[in-house]
Amino acid sequence: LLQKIKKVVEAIVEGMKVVGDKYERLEVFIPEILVISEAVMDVVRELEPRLRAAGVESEGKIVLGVVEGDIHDIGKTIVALVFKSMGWEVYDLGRDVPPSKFVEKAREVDADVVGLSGLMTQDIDPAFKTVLELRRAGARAKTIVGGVFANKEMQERVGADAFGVDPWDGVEKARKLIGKG
Amino acid sequence: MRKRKTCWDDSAARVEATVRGETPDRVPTLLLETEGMCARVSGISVHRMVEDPKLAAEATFEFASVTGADAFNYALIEWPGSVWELMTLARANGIPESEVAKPLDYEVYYPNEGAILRRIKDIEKLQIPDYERTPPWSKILEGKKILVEKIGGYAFLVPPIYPSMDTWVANVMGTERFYMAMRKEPELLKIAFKKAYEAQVALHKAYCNIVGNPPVLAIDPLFANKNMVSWKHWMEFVAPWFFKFLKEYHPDGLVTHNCGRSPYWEELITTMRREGLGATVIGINAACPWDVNWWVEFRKKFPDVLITGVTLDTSAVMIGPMDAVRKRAIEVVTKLKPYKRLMIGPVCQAGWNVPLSNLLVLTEVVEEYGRYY
Repeated sequence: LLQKIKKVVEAIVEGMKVVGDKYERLEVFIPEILVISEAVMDVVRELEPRLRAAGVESEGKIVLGVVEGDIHDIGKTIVALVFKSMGWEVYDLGRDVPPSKFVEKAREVDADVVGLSGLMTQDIDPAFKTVLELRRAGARAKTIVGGVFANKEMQERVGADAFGVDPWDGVEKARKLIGKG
Repeated sequence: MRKRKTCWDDSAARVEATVRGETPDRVPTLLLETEGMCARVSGISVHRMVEDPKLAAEATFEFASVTGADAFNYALIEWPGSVWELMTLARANGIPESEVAKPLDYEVYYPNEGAILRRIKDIEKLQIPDYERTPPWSKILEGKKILVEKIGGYAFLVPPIYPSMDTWVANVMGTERFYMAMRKEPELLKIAFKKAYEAQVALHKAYCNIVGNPPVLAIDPLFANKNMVSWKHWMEFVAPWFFKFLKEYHPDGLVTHNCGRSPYWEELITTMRREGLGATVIGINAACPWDVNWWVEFRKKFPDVLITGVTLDTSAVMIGPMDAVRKRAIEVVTKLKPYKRLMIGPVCQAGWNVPLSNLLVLTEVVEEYGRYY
C-alpha cells in the first residue's frame, strides 16, 4: 500500500511541476491553479496521515504567513498548497501575522523554513521585524520571502535567506536552504 | 529651506499641455501619495481625514505644497477598489463597519475582503449606496470639491480611478472566491460584474454632481495581469462592463493605472483603440516592465500614449537610496522626454515608508533634465 501511496504522491509532485511550467509559460493562471490545487489538496489530505503513520518523513517543515498589516493572502494560500503537494509539512498562520506568532510557531514545530508573504511596499518593515525576531529568538529556521514584488533587493532589505518568485521557485529555494536542493 | 508651493497655474498649464501632446515648459511631476504619506506630512491622522473633509483637503494641500508636485491625488484615494468603497457599501447594506475595515491612525485602513458578500449567490440583494449622502464616499467627494476649487482639476490627473470593476468584485466577494468563481460559478460572477458597473456608474454620477466632471479618468484594470488571469478571462468577465462604462462616461482622457507585475499593456491599448476609446488621450501609469528601454520601444509603437511613472516602483526603487531614485529618474527623463507625453513620479501611491527626499529628488530631476525650453 505504501508503495502505491508513494507513486500517487510522486505523480502529484510531477503534476504540480507541470502546472508550474504552464504558469511560467502563461498557459494557466491563478483561477486554474486554485481549482487544480483544491483537487490536489483533497488527495493530499487523504494520503498525508497514512504516509506519516507509515513513518515516511516529510520533505521539511515550513511555517507560512502573510506579514503583519497585510491581508492579501491569495499568493500565500497557493504557496501553502504547492508546498503541501510537494510533500512538505505546512503550518499556515494565515494573514496579518505579527512577528511573535511566526516565532512562536517556528519554535513549537521546530520549523526548517519560515515563509513570509507580502504584497505591498509597507510589508518590508514587518517582514524585516519578523526575520529579526526569529534570529533574536534563536530559531534555527531559514527564512524565505515571497510575493508580487519579491526580488533580491527585497530579500536583502528584509534580511531573509532567499526569495521565491513563484510557489515552485519557492519550493526549490526552500529545498536548497535545508540542503536538499 | 524649500519654498512651499501655493499656486498651481503653471502646473496646470504644464500638465494640460502634456496630456494634449503639446510641448510644456518641462516634464511635469505626478507625485501620487497614500493617506499615510499625507498623514505623515501634515500630522493629521487618517481617522480625522475620514471624519472631516476639510482636514482631508488640508492634508492633501500640505503634501502638495511641501513637495511642489505638479499633480498628485486627493489624500483619501478616490478608488472604488478601496476600503472607502467597502465602508460605504457596509453602511448601505446594514453591515457593521468594523467587519469590513480596520481603522489606523497614520496609514490607510485595512479592508476585510469578502466581508460585504459572504455568499456569492446574494449578489443580487446587494444595495448600491447613495454615494452623495453615504460616508465615507460623500465626505471624500466633499473634500475633493474643496481642493478642486482651490487648485484646479488638472492637478488631479490620476483619480478618480474608475472603472475598477475587477478590484471591486474581488474586494466585495474576496479575492480567492473571485478567482475560483471564474472557473466554478461564471454566471454568478457575471452578475457581480453587472453590479460593479451599476455601483461605479452611481459613484461617477455622484462625483460629477458634487465635484464636477473630471478632465481625465484613471482606469484601473488591476487584474489584467499575465500573472493573475488569462486575457481571455479578463475579456470575458471584466471587459464587457469596463468598456461599456468607458463608452458611456469617459471624458477627454483616460489614464490606465496598473501596478501589477506583468500587465497586458499592448492587448489593452489595442483593444481600447478597436473599441473606439481614448481617441483623445490614453495614458499609462505603470512600473512594469522595469526596463526603461522596453518603454522606449513601447513609446515608438504607441507615440500618442501618455506615459507616467514607469519603472519608479514603490516597492523597490522609491524606498531605496535617494541616489538610486535620482539615477533612475534621470534615465527615464533623458530616454523618454524627446517623445513628449511624459510625466515623472512613483507609479503607485507612495506610502509612509517612501522617504520624502525620494519624492523631492524627482522634482529636482525634472528641473535639471526635464526642460523643453
